Amino acid sequence: MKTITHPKSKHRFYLLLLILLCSLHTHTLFAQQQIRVTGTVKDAEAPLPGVTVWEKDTNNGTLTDENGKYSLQFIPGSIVTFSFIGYKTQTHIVSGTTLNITLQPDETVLDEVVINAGYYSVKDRERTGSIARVTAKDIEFQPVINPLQAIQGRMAGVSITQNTGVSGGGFDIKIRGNNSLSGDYTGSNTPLYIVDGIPLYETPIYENSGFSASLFNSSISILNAINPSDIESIEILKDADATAIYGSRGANGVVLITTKKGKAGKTHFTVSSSTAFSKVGSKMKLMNTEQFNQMRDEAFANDGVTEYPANAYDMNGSWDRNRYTDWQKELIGGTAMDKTISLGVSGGNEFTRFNVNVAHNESTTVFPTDKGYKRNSALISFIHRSKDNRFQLGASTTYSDQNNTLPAADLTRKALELPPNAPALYNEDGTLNWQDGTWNNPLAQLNKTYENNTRNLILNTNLSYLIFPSVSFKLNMGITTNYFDERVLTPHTIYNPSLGRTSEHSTAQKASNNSDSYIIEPQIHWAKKWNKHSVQAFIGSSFQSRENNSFQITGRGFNTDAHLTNIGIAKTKTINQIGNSQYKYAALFARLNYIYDNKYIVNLTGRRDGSSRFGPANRFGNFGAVGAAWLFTEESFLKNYSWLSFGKLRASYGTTGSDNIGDYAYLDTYTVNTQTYDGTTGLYPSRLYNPNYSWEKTTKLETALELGLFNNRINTNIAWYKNRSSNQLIGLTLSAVTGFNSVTDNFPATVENSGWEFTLHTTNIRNNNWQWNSNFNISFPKNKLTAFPDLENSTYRNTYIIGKSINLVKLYHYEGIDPDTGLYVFTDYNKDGKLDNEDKQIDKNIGIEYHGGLQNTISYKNISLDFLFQFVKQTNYTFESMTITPGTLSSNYPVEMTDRWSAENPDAQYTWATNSNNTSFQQITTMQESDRSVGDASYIRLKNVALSYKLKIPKAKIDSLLLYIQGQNLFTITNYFGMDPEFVFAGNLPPLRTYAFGVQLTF
Amino acid sequence: MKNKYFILFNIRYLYFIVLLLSIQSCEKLVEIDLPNNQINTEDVFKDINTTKSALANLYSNVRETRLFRGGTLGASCNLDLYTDNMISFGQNNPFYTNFITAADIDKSFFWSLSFTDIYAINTFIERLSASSYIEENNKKVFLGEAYLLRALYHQYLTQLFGAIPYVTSTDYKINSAISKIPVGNVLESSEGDLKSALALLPQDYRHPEHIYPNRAVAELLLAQNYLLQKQYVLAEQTAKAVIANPLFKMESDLNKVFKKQAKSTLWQISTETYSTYDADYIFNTLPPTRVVLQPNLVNTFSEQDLRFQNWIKEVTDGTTSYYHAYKYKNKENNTDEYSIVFRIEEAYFILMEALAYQNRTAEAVHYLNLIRHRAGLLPLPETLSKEEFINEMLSESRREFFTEGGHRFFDLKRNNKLHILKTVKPNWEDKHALLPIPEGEILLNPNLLPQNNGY
Repeated sequence: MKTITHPKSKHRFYLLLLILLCSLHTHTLFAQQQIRVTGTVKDAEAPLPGVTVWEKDTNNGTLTDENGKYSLQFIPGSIVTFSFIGYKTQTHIVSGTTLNITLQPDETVLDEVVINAGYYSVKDRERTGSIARVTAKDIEFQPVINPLQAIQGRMAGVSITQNTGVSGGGFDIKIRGNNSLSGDYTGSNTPLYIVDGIPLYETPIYENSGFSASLFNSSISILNAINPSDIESIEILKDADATAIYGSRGANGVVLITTKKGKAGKTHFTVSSSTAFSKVGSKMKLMNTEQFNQMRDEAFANDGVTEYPANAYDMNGSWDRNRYTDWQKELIGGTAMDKTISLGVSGGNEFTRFNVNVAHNESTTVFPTDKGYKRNSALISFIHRSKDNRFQLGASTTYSDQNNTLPAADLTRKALELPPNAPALYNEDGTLNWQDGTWNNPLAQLNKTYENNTRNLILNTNLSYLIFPSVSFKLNMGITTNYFDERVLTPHTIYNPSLGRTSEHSTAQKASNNSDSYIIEPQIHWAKKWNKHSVQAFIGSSFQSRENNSFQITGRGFNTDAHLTNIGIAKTKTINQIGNSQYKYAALFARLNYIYDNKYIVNLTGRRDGSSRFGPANRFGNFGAVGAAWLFTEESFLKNYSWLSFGKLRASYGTTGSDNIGDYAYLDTYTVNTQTYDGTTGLYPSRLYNPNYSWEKTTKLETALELGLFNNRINTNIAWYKNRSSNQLIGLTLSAVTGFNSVTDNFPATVENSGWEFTLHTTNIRNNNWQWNSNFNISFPKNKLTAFPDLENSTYRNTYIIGKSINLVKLYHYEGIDPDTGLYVFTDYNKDGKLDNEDKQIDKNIGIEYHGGLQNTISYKNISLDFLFQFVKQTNYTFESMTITPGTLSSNYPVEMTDRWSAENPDAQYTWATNSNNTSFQQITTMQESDRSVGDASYIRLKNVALSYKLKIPKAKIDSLLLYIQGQNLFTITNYFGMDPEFVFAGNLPPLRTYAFGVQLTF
Repeated sequence: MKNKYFILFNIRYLYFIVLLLSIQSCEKLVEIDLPNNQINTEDVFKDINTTKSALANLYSNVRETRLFRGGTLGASCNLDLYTDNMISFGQNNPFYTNFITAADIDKSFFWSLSFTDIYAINTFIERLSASSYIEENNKKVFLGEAYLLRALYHQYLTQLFGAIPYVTSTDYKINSAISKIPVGNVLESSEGDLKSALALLPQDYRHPEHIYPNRAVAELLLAQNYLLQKQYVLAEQTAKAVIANPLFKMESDLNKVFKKQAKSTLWQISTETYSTYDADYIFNTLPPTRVVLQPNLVNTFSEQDLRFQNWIKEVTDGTTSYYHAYKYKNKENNTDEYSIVFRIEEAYFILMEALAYQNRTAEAVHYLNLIRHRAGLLPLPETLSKEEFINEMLSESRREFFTEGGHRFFDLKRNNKLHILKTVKPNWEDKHALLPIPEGEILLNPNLLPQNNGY
């Protein structure tokens, strides 16, 4: 084994110090008379390799070899320390030439929760930043496709809304609110996702083909690619201290996902399987046929129409006016079935550990179709460390293949809109019924299919080498590929036969969007402890590159619909898009952490970032943060309070940024159009040209108090934060007269997100048989536009108000119904006799006031019951904003709309029915833009219930057999007027109610 | 021992080198290539082929944009629904029900897409004018076409929206706060652009199928412009020049009028798909689901009117009959039809209207009778009063140009006759002479205030 001798190390050390910009090093210049000390280090059972043996306050040190032996020269009387992770450090004074040591396990350290902070990990007690964490036990058995769904309601400051109940969709996730003035749809408020050190990018649908927009609206979550049961932990970084190390991409928070690793010991085989049944949780009460017909008749009577017009199919005999269909039952009333099966094997020894898990999932939808979502996923990971513990290598592969086959549009809206007396879906012979072409059969849409196929591969390797006992070199490398193919087949049979279309009009569209990226992050870490000082530092750099290729083709005109799947034989083929884009990113980052006496902690982080998303003059930006913590319970004057087990005050301040503006937006170019003219391919101006925009910066400030009471049976955390985003990087909205809707630019407006977050973790009962833990979290986010220079003369004058939330909407004020005319009355503030924007004087904040969750885990012996309530207090658009004038054929209506105005019913809630009165149509439009259409959308939801029973059958060599029942979204308490209060886009399928049964066998 | 040390040492130095490199060449690290579907604007106008591509796009814009697009999505159909030419079977078409609001108007995209196209035209004019790489002859023709297009868009927009900005700049700082100008000034600016086009465009077509405008098209638009400006003498002269042009001739066979090879076509837009948008109107079974011709329009045709026989088709289930426009006949497998923007008949109508307003009714009747003759109708007497003539002219124009370019609306409007719509359209109000300016636009740019009366 090699001994690191003094003069050489001095030389090398200086080189390192130069890089680390650290001058804390002290050293001895000349060697004195030395003696060689040898010995063996072991624990209670066996010799320990890799133990650090170190002469205190010098750089003289070594590691034990594979037999736990060491050999090192000392000056007699010097102090030597023996340290190894998981063991208590021992200190001895050198006297003889042999020194054998037995290290004691450090229970406190083993119990210590270590938090992943991305480039480094930190003990929870020494953490200076704001990091929320959810671990496998809360995630692994939940009957969900997407990990984000599993953590809803479990973390303070993290608000997650499910976009759609259709499997394979997206989520809206906000970590401490919206920082950007640009809308949610642009992705500029999305956090950074990092899986095992590798960033993942979510492509908004509008950057893809847009085929799935009517199903998934804004996004298909990239995290669908991750099997939730492969996740060991999810950490969400919130404040400056935690996110500044991610520099330009930390502004909206960082979601770190760590996959499961194998554990040393026996090789375990795991087989799990579960089956889930999901249905739409709540239906709307709509008018029945009698109520509907009464309304229609009333409409014609009000319009003075005595003979039913030609297109009043329901009344004029084209349809059977007395038919009744519950369209919600017919179109979205099915049961979606979800089956998951997985096989895993994990194990290893003290040097090498591995974990392999493959899973298959398939689920159907609530729509009347047998198609649905399928995912195959595999996780393969191994970790190896050398016998001398200097070298460590970890590698993981996450692969998934998803296939989603769906009707091309969500049928929810149709289910709410179809008149109850609309014709039957099928003729007696089983063919689609078009009722002589008088309606568009909604099931025809099922023939129009949407299919996507996503293959996602994340390869990650990280290695580290301990150069000196205190200095290590680390390298994190990774590759991701994301292949996304979509196909929409539109046979002519989806069209009303009266249009006379043939397969000549059938179309097939295919699009792909493939991206490949790599990341390389070399780092040097340094750590040292002496006396009461403990210093950790690292410096690293990051090189990232991503290349994206997209392609879209449309084939039109087929001899027969049977050929639709083969675009090659379409009569006309149009290539709608061939595009590629590159994104490159380079950074230099560093951290310096200093702890004095286990009490005072300072954490400095910084990053210099360069991004290809800016013009050549503006590519680089600097970000940094300072965090500090005071563990006041370590102070002697507080040691005597036995009820106070742990107390920490922490604070952080710093800047992060955002380059979330899309690639190439600074270029002055023309883009190739797929439209041709006279055989010539077109070229059109790509955008309004502005090369001068630069980084958006978010300044974050946080203070928090963390307490552990009564032997840590009660842990609580109160945090207050204030984030300010300025130099807003947005698509500045412009009048269409400029040729475009916006221009990319920095805008000197400041958005402030502030709030309180409170978490409480209690151990209510803990004894041999019983255990009861509770987790509670609540967050009060507040959003405010604090500055907006020259707002009055900007294009945003009617959108924002300084001092109020950026989520506000300006609305008319609804006064009520005029008892004489039955028309809605709105306040004409400027009394000019008409209602226009000047009269939109009511502002409502469409957003969350507070949100949180309450989780209880009760276990008795082998039985465990876990339930989570999620609650949200919020305001949003209600179903009023979707209702149209009562009386037209284009829609059915909520049963509430039977309360219509008439001379006999002057106090009604709704206006009179009409089929053609423009004044009435006009007032509905106004109503939809009034405060009547906005209301309380708060809810309390029993988000998740899990009952599980675990038993061991050693005779059958079964380590554990786990049986469980899970329920998701079991009930919701809400006053919301509409289908479900959790939505991002009204009219989408709401989150489903799910019951799942599963079993996991480990042997 | 020694070896291991060496490797260690080297790894570390390697790392330092990497680190140092990274600091020195940071700029390089974040440099990227242009995507393969984009070309630097400067380079576009260095090459004749890319310049042609930029120009081709201006024409495909005309084909696609809602203001000029044929078929059910375009202004021609919606204005026919708005007036008394067509009935919509879809629910609540706002044009058909005359329920147009400032909040919803731009769902039609008449405003926003037109200005997107105007921006492309202006960029083209600005960059091509500044380019020294394109041969002068080509440059002249291309610029002439671009000026013509700019005039065309504004001339139609102002007829729909009244006072609008006349946009000639590409600077978003100017355009985002641009003021609107009265209709008269818009027409003057458009007249200016048309005169520039006249000076630059050749007499001949650069494509035998008339898919790019020549000088005659600029003349026709200018004649229309004069008519709108009530400069009847100039309108008469200009229209006469178009009619006298030997390149054009009214097709005597009505079935040839909408074919690619028609002699009467001044400018048509090439179609590259299986049918023209104008063939949208065709349906085969009942009840109809989209749009049909108003019985009121169908009834104005006499039985012997050849246009009724050739340009209209009846679909009947034995008891009820509906009619659809049948000017364009290829719903699929189209090989012989393009979308016609202007045909020579338009010049005749401009001429007769210009004559009538100069109180030269007898001469005007002469030209009207040419149209009637071609349709197989008997001539009208030259003794018609001006008022009688205008009414006859409007009915004739309606029969000639239904489903084409929103003629009915523009004709009635120019002749102050929109009020006659009230008999067929119960919701018709005087304010409907103009469409509202999209509310969102006024919010973004207050210089577009005031909103048009009544909205």
